[in-house]
Amino acid sequence: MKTMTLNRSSTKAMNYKVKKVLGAVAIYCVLIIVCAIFLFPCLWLILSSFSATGSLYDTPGFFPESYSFDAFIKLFTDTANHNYPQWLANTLVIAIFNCIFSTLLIIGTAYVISYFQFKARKGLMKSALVLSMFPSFMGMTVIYILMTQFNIVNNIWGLVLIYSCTAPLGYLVQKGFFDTIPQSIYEAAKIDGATNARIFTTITLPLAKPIIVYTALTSFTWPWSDFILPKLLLIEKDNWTVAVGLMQLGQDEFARFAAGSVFIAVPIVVLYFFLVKYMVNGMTSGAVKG
Amino acid sequence: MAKVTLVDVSKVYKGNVRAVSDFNLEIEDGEFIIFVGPSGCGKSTTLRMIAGLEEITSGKIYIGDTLVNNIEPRDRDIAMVFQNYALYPHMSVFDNLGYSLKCHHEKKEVIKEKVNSVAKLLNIEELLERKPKELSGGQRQRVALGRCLIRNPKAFLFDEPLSNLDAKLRVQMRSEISKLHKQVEGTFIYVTHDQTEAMTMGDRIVVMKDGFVQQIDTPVNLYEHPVNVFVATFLGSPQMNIFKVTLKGDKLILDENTSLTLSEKTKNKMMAGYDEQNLILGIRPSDFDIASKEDYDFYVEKIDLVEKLGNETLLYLSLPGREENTIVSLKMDMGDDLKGPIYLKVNKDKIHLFNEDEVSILKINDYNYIPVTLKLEAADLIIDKKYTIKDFLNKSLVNEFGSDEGKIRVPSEAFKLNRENDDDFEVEVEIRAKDVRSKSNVYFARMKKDFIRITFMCDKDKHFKVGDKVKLYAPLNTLSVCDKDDNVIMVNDEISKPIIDVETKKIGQEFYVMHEDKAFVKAHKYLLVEKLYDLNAKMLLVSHDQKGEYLTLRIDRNDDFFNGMLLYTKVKKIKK
Repeated sequence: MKTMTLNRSSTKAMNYKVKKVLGAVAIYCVLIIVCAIFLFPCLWLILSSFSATGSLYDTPGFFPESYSFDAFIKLFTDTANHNYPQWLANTLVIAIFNCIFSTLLIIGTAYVISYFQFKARKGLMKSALVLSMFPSFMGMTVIYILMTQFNIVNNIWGLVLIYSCTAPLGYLVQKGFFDTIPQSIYEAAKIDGATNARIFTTITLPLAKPIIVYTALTSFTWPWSDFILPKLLLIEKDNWTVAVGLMQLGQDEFARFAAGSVFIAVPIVVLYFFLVKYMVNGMTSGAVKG
Repeated sequence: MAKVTLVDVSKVYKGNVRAVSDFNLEIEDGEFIIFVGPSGCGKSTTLRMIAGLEEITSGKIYIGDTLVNNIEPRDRDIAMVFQNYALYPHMSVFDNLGYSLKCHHEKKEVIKEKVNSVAKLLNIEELLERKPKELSGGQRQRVALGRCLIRNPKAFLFDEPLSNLDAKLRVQMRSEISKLHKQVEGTFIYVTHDQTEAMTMGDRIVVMKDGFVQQIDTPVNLYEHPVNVFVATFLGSPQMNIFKVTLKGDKLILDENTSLTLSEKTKNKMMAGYDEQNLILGIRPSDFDIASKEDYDFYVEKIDLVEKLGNETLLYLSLPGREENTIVSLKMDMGDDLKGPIYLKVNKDKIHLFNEDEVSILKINDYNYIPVTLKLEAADLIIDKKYTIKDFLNKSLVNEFGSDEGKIRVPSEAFKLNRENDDDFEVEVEIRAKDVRSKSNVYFARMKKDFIRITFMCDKDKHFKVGDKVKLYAPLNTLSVCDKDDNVIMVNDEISKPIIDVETKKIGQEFYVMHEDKAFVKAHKYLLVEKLYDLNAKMLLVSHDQKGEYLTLRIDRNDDFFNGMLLYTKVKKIKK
C-alpha cells in the first residue's frame, strides 16, 4: 500500500517536470519565431546594402549573390548628385536640436499638468488629447502657408521649429510618469523650504531621468524617419534630410539606398548606448513605504 | 518654538463635504498634543492645514503671533514627518538631512556640522552615505525625524509616522519620539488613529469625529471622564461595554431581574433630573471582578469565549442590557481555567453614565492640586507666604512634614469668580476648553506655572473663550493641605484629635467597626458616618460620639463607605 502511494506521487512529480520542460520549449519556440519575423527584414536590408550589383532586380532570390563595400563607399564619395553626407549632417542637426527643444517642452508641459492644479488644466488636457488624434499631415497646407509667411521654407530650422512646437501634444506618457512620483515628496520639499523652481530642478528632474531619456531618444529618432514634413518644406537638395534624399535614389541604386538606411542606425544606436544606463526603473524606490 | 492657535478653523471640500468644522485649539509652546480619531475624522486635514498643504475654508491659524492663513508652507517655519517617510530617493541620507538647510542657503560647513549632530542624536551616523532604498523601515523613519529636527522649527508636525512600522518597532519609536520631545522641548502636533500612541505620548489629546472636536483633555481625564459615548468607547482597549439602562431611584435597571445600585460617589457626581429616564451605562472591562455568591451584581451561566493574553484574561459573555458580547478583563493566571457559572461584581465608583443623546451626565468634580510652599509658624500654617491657616497643627493628620513643598487641594466647585474674603486663595488661569455637556458649565483651564490643570465650575450665564485669562478665588476653609505626593495631611474642617485607627469588617450587608476596647464598643453601639475624607490609601470617617463630641476614625479603603451610612461596633478579638 505504502509503495503504491510512493509510486503514484513520484509519477505525478515526473509528469509535472516534463510538463514544465515542454512548456518552456513551446515558449522559446514562439519567441524564436517572433524574433525571426522581426529580424528578417533587418537582415535582408543589411545584406542588400552589401550587394555587389546594387540593383533590386538583379537579386535572384531573397539575398544577393555577391557582396562588396561599394555601396557604402559610393554613399560618401559619389556626392555630385546624391550628397548623403550633407543629408546626414542636416538630419543630425535637426535631430539634436529637436531632441533638446522637444524634451524641454514635453517635460515642462507634463510636469506642469501633473503637479499644478489650475482652472484650465482639464480643458487643456482634453483639447490636447483631441488634437493629437488628428494625423499630422492634415495640417500640411496650413503649415506650408505659415512657413512661407515666416519665410522659413527650405530651411532646416523651420523643421526644428515645427517639430519642437508640436511635440508637447504628446506629453501624456511623461505626465503618467510624473503622476507616479509620490505627492508627499513634493510636500516634504515645500515644507523644507524649497521653491517650485527648486523642487523641479532638485527633486523632479533627478527622479524623472528615465522618462527624460525616453523622451530624448524618441525626439532624436523621429526626424530620421519622418518623410512628409521634410519633403514638403525642404526644397533644395542640400537641405534634404536622409529620408527625403534616399527616396530620390534610382531603382538600380538599391544597395546604396540600403546602405544609407543602415547608416542611419549608427547615431541612434550610439545615443541609445550612451543613455541607456539612465533608463533604470525604480528610481523612486525607498522614497515612501510601498 | 512657538504656540499654535486655531480659531474657528473649517475645511469644506467640493460638494459641500465638511472635513473639519469650527476647530478651536490653542497649543502651548513646548506642548505635545495628539489628534486622534477614526479614519476620515479630519485629523490629518487639520494637520495639513497647519502645515499649509491644505487651504482653509474659514477661520484663522496662528503660528506664534503670525497669522499664517496666506503664508506658503516653506515660510511657516515648521517641520513635518509623513506617514510614508517621503524621503528624497535620489539623495543620500546626508543630503536628505541637509536639504532644508540648503534651501535656506546655509553654508556647507554649517550643514555638515548640523547633519552630523542630528545623525548622532538619532544614532544614524553610519547611514549617512546610504540611499533611502538601502535602509530598513525604522531607519527611514529615523531619517525622516532627523530631517525635521535639523532646522529647529517653530512646530513639529507628525502625520501618523509610526503606522507603517511593525508592532515592535512602533513601540520602540514611540518611546524615542517621546524622549525627543523632552530633549528638544518643541511644540509637537501628532496625528494618529492608534489610541495607545495617543494615551502614552501626549500632554493633551484632541479626540475628533466627523470633523468635530469631541473632547480635548489630558489622557487620564479622557479615560476617566469621557464626555460622550464616542470618546468613552474610542479610548481604552478592549473598549468600554455599553448597556441600555433605566434609572429608578438609586438603581440602574438592566432588565426585570438585574439592577445595579449606584455608589454614593457616583450618585454625588450625577446631574439631577434623570430619574425614571433611559440612560446609557458604560463599564470598562477592567472594572469587573469575580464576586462571591453572597455579594454579586451579575450571575453568568455560561462564558462564550475565554482569551488568555498573559497579563490578563478576557471573558466574552452575555449580560442583560446589551445585545453584543460583554468583555470582562480579569487579572488571573494563565493556568486558571474558567467555566461558567460565575458571579461578577462591578466597581460602581468607576461606572460611566450617559443620557440618551450619548452625553455624559457625570460632573467632573475633581479636586485640583496646586503646588505651594508650606511653612509652619507656631501652630499656624503659612501657604506661599501669603495665606495663613490658623491652628493647623490641631487639625493636621501629621505633626510635621518633611519638605516645604506641598500642594493645596481645591474642589472644582469651590472656585468663585469674585473675591468674597480678603484672604481667599487666588489663582490665575487661562481657559483651555469648555466641558461640552449642555447641562453643566465646567471649564478646563491651565495655570501658567508648570501647566497645572484646573477644573472649575461657574454660573451658566458666564462664558469664556479659549485663551481668556481668569482669576479664580477659593475660600480658605475649602482648602485641604497635601504633601507633594498628593496625600492629604490636613482636611480643613473640624476634625477631632486623636484620630483612632480601626478595622472594618463586612458581615452580610452590614459594616462593623472593630475595636479591642470593650468600653469603646459599649459607648458607641453604632456610628453614623457624617463626613468622609479620601486620603488615598486610607479614609477618614467622622462621626459624633454619644456626648456630641467629634470622633474621627481612620480606616482602610476596602469597602464602599458613604455619608449617612450606619456602622455597628464590635469587639475585635486579639489572637494570643
